[in-house]
Amino acid sequence: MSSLIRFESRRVGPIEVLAEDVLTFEPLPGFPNRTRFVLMEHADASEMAWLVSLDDPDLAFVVANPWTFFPSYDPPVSKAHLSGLGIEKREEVEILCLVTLDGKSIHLNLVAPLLINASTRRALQVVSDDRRYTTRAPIPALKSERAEGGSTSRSESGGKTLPSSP
Amino acid sequence: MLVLTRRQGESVRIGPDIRVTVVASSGGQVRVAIDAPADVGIFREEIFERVATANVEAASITEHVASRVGPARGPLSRAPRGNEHE
Repeated sequence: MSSLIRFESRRVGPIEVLAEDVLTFEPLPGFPNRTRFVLMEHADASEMAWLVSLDDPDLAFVVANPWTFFPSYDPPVSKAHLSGLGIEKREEVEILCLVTLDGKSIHLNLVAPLLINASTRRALQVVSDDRRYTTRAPIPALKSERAEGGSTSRSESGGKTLPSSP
Repeated sequence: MLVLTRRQGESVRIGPDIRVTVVASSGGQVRVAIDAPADVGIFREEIFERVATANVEAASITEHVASRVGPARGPLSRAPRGNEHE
């Protein structure tokens, strides 16, 4: 039986979610007491989603599927991470990265991806010091936009971007 | 906070299945060996702090992102799909 949870998030407004859609995270570094989150669809950017806290009305992240922007991304995921989520095969884990925005450029944290077990709804963030990646990897499509002098062409590499500011 | 003194070769237990052993110490550096279950995360403090800082930054600019990418719609039962990874 699944109950409906209503929560007044100050970041995304009032939300209603089924209890079965709630993700239970191991506490994220920096947010020790925030464990219950829900993924909410973005109205305008389908390759991104909100990750909204159900414990703190002022906490929400924007997350993205890293392969949308970095097709060759090889996440720093170990067997121990997977077994911590009760997952045996790597294909069974869902992986998202936190989005940050700095002026006009959008970044993904590729060093510390979020891992989700979709069937148990348990999740954790990898804490790694993977030297191949950075916590602020600029989304490539935006780099090319800048190189083209602000052109809004998005054909290159198929990487979609967030809509430009009005 | 518990503070205690151990000699080289001596250990500390944290719960039933985590053991921290002082392997060597010299010149202000201490080398420790940690036995713990595979699913217990063990990392240097500064690496944890770097992720924490990045998380706080990701959370703090959400308002700015929100004005660019629009409001949330319904809940997602699956993570967003991009190019499938191999």
